[in-house]
Amino acid sequence: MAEGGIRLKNIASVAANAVTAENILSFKEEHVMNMAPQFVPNTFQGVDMLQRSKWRELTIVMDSENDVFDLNFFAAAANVAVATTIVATFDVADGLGTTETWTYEISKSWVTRKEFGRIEDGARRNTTEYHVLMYGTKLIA
Amino acid sequence: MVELVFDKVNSVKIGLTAANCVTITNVLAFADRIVSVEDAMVRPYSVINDYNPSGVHQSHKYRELLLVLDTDWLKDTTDPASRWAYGATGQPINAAANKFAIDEDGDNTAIEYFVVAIRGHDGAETTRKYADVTTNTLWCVGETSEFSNEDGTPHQTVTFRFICLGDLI
Repeated sequence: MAEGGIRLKNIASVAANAVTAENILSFKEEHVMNMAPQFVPNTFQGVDMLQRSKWRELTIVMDSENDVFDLNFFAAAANVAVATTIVATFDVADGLGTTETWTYEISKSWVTRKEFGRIEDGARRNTTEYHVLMYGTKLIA
Repeated sequence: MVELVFDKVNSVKIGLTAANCVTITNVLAFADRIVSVEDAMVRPYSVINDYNPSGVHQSHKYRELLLVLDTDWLKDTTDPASRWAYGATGQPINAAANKFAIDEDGDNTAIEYFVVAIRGHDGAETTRKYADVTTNTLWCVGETSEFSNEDGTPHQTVTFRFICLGDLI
């Protein structure tokens, strides 16, 4: 058993509830684990998480748009879970075509923000950006 | 006077002891900054009035360490799940059994060994010891993974953030 680096090359796809999107420009996962009590609010309002709870915020930027996150989260009545499973697949930079998957088995999730990029002359990309706040299990394979 | 000219980060060693740690070498950047809860050692009006607020210690500061990796480091290169910071297959970091840098469902445990080796332009290595079999001083407090498919992206990064309550050893 030898230790060493794992180097990922690019994002192959992001899937939500088994619907796959490949027009991914960027993917970011922030594992929020504030632990100093003086910096943590007692509750994260509206998300029923307690002090010291840990959660992840996923930011997914698409080249224009995709229906991979269905329209459920537009329901006005409540926060509706955007997905129960999100799978990000990456190509490994080993020249062998190896892929790696990060599977988020989501207990609860919310789209906290959705932004459309500007559409104007000279824009390189017209993007849609999803911010998904979630907690649950993350598996790497 | 000794002038130090740094060249690159050779490695960051994180674990339990010098003999039981990971030696992370795919380091893109390492940063260390002093943070004061009060922003400065004392507030100006306290100085003017020669007043030391009770219960507040002017040494109430800590270091924030930032470690940026070229993706991530594995304890076992044959197992992509063996991320160094996570349990079961990762690197133990505390004398208490089965404690790892990031606990998915609970408070993180203090890291007892954290040493950064920096190469000077003359090839000599400088080490910065933040924890050396030290208890209750240094914790992992954040992890951010960022990936981009845009042309010209040189690295896909994983960034770890730590707080260190003590000074360099």
